[in-house]
Amino acid sequence: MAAVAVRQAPRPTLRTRMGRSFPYLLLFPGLFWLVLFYVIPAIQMFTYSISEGSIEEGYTMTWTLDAYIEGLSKFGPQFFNSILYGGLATILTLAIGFPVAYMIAFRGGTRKNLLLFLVIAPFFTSFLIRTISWKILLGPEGPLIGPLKAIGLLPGAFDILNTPVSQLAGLTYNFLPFMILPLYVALEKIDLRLIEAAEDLYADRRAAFRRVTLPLSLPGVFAGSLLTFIPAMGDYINAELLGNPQTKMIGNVIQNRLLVQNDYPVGSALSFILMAAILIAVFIYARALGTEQLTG
Amino acid sequence: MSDPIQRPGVRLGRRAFLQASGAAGFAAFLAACTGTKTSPSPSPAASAGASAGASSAPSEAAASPTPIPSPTGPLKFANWPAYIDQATPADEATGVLPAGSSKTLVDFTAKYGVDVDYEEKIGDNPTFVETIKPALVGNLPTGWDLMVLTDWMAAKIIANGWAEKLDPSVVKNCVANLRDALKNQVWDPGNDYHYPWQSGMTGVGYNTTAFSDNGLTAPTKIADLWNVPSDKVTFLTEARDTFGLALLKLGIDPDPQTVTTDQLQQVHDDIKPLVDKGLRFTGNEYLQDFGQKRTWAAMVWSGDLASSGGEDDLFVFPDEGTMIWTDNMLIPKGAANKYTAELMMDFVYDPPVAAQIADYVYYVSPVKGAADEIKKLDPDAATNPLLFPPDDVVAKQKNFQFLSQELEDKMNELFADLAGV
Amino acid sequence: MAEGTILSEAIVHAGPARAPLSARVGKRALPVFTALAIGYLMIPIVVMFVFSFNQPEGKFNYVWNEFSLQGWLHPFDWPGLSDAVITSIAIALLSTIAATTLGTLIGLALSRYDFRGRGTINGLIFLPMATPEIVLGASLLTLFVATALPPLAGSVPTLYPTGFQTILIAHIMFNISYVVVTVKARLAGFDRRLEEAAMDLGANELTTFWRVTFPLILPGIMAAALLAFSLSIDDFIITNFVSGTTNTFPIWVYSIQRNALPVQINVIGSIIFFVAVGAVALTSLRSGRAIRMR
Repeated sequence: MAAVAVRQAPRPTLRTRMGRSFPYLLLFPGLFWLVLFYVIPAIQMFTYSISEGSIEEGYTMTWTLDAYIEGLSKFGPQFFNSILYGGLATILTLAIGFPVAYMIAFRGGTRKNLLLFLVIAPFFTSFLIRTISWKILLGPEGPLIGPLKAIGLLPGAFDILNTPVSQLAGLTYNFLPFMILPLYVALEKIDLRLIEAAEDLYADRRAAFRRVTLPLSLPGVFAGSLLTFIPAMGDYINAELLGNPQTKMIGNVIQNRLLVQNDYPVGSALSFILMAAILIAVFIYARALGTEQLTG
Repeated sequence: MSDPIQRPGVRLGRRAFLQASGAAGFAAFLAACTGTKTSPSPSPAASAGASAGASSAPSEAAASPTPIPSPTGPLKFANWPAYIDQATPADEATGVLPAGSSKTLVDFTAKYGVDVDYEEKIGDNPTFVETIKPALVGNLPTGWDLMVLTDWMAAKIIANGWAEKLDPSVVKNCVANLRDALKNQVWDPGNDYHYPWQSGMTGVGYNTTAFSDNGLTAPTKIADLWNVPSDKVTFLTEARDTFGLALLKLGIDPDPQTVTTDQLQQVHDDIKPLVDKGLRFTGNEYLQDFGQKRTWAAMVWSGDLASSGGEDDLFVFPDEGTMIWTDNMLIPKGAANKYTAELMMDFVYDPPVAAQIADYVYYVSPVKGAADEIKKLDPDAATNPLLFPPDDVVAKQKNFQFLSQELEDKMNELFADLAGV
Repeated sequence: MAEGTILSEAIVHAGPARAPLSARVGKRALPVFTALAIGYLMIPIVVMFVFSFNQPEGKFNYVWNEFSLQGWLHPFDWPGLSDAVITSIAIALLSTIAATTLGTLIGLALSRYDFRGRGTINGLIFLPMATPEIVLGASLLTLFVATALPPLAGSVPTLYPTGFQTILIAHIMFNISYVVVTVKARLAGFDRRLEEAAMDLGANELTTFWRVTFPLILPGIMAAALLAFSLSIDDFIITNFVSGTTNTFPIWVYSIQRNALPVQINVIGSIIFFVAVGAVALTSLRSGRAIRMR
């Protein structure tokens, strides 16, 4: 494999002089930011999940597990939907995104940057407008489905909006750049001479891809999957605009609990259950793909 | 003419904010002094740095014996979008109004010399209030001077002591011109804290073409919605509207004082079969659904379909009755420019101004005399039943906004179950 | 990377004179698929652009009515819209720069060094992505308000009233994770011998980093910056909580759609898209020409 760190006798560099503290120095600014503006607020939210009361009257931290019990028992279908739609969206974005990233990385030439930018530029515009545009396009009598119905390919009552398909399509579309960019980043780094060497050793195109390119692209696959699956699990807006009452995800439940019902304990508990589930999934996934290469 | 929309600068804390507003006020004073075209009487100087205790030039035409404090600014006014009159291209072409401005706000600035920072940031009640709740709980100023919230949320704000008490001597127009139907709300009987901005109605909307194409008779009752294929019907994400109309359908009077949780359960059980057959809940996305012929009939709000629906989309006042709701002006506790906010409330209750707003917004004005004034602006609007509902409709209007905590919790729980969350 | 391009073109052309049909189809399939995929990504932009020329029947731009240039002639017709757009762009630029820097440093540390707490920090990085945005927003707002209340008031710099600076803080926070994950994908399997070689040739740490490491990981950093920018410029929920009285373009869009959907949204969206793509196209053309001229 590519990364074989050759250990030489250490030179008296800045790094060795600072010794073991150097990585901490690199970490410090970003970690400080995260601790201050993520960890501390998250701890506050966690205390809500084990409290009783209301925001007007004040919460008392009673260390009760009621919120977690309610969270785990009442929302099976929504958790299932999150895993289902999040997982499917990840697989679809991978299937669509990998060839695109490969094409840009290997055959993009001087236009690599432009192509990459074209992948992400649509997402500088408002999510709402993109979704409304899709709804205009996919309307039952719109420019796409209307003609298909006119020539009889689709039944007259066919309506794809507010179905599981449209929700999945929305998730897939909106997370596609999050899969393509990390994939590109990993693929573009692959030294083409390795592929050439494999072909010199009588591998055909397909075998070279399978035995050289694919394994080297795994860090990109891992990163892209994370950047897609993790936020998709917590997504609520695609279900709200493109789904129906049967396809709601856990993000919608959390939204409802916090905003409408002002039920901070259960809302926070659900969030932490979601975060725990995601961490476990990521851990298993990393193991499956082989952590050594992936997390550096 | 000074641009009424202030640029939001970098927030540097309260001290800098006051300095900035003082500077802005001074700038407005200079602008006012260099001659504005509209106000006949001299505009009062906005305080140039000194606020409390400064005596000022005489203000509006109604002279008072005691010196009135000068209004401070800029006024931070949070409102729902498209809820105030807006400059038309014609106005811009003739240079009467700058692009993107509102005649009401421009006139207010001309009259009082205070800029208005008008932000259309309220998309729905809970989301907006969640952003100011921590400040209110902690007794800090929210940054807003004036906000517009629907009845039930306004009631909560007042009940929690988060609204400033109004000075009747400043809001004279409001006291005099509020329509009787909107007086004596249970949650603020004396109008000590709020005055309505606009009212709206919830009823039934349907598409005539879809109905005739599919052999359905035009709906006249809420119950007719149950007879349309459920995947072609939408109800509202606003639980109070949906439950209110559904209670009417079941023959129950949606009076928050008499409704029981069992009756709410009845509503839930009545709607659940429809959800299983494809009923959805929308906000005003129903407009797009109507436009695409995906929805044939729905629970709708009065303003939307009238102003923006297709020609064959009609609003119906159902036989059983309609829901009425009101969006109300409130001053959050700790507002920096409370006096200016009260002046704004007073300003929009002047019938010509109220007519101007209602003509654009196309909702029900709370101001007495707006009906007469609007005839001068737009004769059609004066006879439009959506702006000025006829008496028989008014008699059957129900308000299901202010609920007890128990009722509200039950309703939210049942509605969440229907909506799949 | 010019070397890679030359090599890739060499490989592509190094086959037999007449490749079998399947190989020729295979060679075409990829560009065609990519073109289709990029077209797919563009579809809503096309619809948005087309509808920017619509004169809607009422207040909502949902259905095509008639052609009109009104939107383009009066793009900033709504009160506060121009301020909101400027604020959004400014925050996106600033938060991208900051988050990319902080995130790259973290990525470097996590990828290359083994230290105590590495696993925990690896896990910590994923958490902001896993947390629902509404939780991030509400909890941050509580924190900001708390800096103005006892017991914290006075002892920490106050972050209340919320506004531009608190939006910036929030955006940097949630962007860091995305940058770290993207940069690590680039750093995985980074060949340290290149650095060792440079140092053997007399370069010090800093020179090595700037002349060897940084150019090699630059694509990863750029990709991370692009992701961060797009996340920031379209963020609604978190921004809504921590923006106070400041308005941003996404908040404006989400708020306004309750009562109207003006053509101006399409116009602004189109302007943003074309300006961004145009700028990159120009720089790409110029650098392409430079390579050819060498």
